[in-house]
Amino acid sequence: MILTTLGRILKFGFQNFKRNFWLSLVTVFILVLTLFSISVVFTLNVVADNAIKSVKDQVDIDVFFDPTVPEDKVVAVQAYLESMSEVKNVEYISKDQALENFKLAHKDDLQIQESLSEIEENPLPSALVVKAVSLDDYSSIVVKLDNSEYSDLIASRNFEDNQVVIERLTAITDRIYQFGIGVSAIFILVAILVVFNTLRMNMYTQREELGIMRLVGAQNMFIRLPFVLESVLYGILASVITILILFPLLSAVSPYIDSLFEGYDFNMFAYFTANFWAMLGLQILISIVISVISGMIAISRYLRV
Amino acid sequence: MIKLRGVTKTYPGTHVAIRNVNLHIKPGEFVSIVGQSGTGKTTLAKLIIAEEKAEKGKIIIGGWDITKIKNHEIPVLRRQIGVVFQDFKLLPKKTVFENIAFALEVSGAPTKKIKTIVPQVLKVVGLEDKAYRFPDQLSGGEKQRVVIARSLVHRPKILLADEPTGNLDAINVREIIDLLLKINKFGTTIILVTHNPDIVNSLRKRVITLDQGQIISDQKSGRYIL
Repeated sequence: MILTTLGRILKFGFQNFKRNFWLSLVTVFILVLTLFSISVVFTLNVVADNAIKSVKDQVDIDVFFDPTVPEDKVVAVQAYLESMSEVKNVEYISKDQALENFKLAHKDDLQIQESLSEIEENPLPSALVVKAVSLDDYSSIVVKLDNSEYSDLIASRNFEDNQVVIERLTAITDRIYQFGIGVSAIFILVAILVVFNTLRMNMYTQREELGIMRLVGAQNMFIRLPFVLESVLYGILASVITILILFPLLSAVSPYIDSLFEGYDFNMFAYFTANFWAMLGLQILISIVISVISGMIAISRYLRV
Repeated sequence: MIKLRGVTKTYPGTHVAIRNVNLHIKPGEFVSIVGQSGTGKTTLAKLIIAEEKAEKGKIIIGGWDITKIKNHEIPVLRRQIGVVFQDFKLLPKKTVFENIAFALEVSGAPTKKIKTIVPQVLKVVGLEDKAYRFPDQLSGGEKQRVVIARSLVHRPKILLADEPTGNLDAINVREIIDLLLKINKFGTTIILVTHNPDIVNSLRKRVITLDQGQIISDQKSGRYIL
């Protein structure tokens, strides 16, 4: 009995979808756009989070010493820095090593290679690379170092640059995120209106049938549930289509994004494949919530039984 | 069976449609409600099937006071009253069989029951051989017989026919009236709303005449008096 009823409601629901096929298609398309914009915002958020994280990982203080400073003094500074609780580790880069690194970094640049071989003496200073426990500790390390007895030995340090980069990056990603949220909100609103309108149109084209149903004593659920089902159908279809578009697209752009994170443990496509079911589930949930909300509004307004 | 006590219904912005109507229809009766257009005949029919709600008075059907009927109870009432309208209200894309089955489907009847009941009612109206035709392929009289068959699927105690012959020619009118008489013989109460004097005069059954929303005559074996 319940199965028969359920079967008939399903039948009517699919019928609604089929009868206004083009209208249904447009509705699904709008829902796909909505889900797509939400997904893009979500993706941007993941990428931005990882970008900031990797920049934060990259942050350090490079302390450069005067070429005249002997190695034992540098080691003393290293020891002093390591004694601070804020410091995670300190790496000593000797003049020779600095030269090696520099040569390696510019191995394709002939001009630099040539000029290096022309200068007989190693022009690069020795340096200490300081990593703090957390990002907030850097300024206090710098202050302590500047006020210490070793401050005279230090030729330069490069901390401020990184801070500026992080602040800028955060500002940009925040702005993109806010913009994305705004666009998604507009899409959600449009989607609710479109689903609402589609169901209203369907109710209008079927007014005769609905009238007959009421006349012959149809149970209310036979009148209402097919429309709820229709809206759920829009949601599921839209989610599946979105995923079908989104994943090939992600796999296509993933190498470009990943190249920005070279040297870091981040693979965007792997991240999304690992979270495939969670994403699909979330999309279905979002689209069903959108379409059922508008379905309910349409039903309560136009299907008074 | 049907009792109306001081029933009044007004449509906003217009005149009073039904004014202080008192009426008692006994089980198994065949009652014609007559009157000119706009005298409240259809309003009266709509009140009985709870498509409209009365402002004043009481409507009792089979001991059930439907004056304050709840929305979810309306389908239950509708299954006890078969309704036939002038404009047929058949679904053009469904066959005769499907149109009749539809009424059972949407009230949750099991498929097995549908398969036994539909041929039965088709036999009552004499359309067994046209079960798989579409409404477009039927004459006006046949369409109306399909509607009557559909109204019978729930075995209603009351059959309400609002101008069932309005769109039909004389021969078809006779067929439909004969069919209603046949159904009445099975024990179903028939309420026939019409403004066709010939039908009323030939029936020699109870006639209630409405004028300007009020009952002006109620005769046991009446004639069309307007």
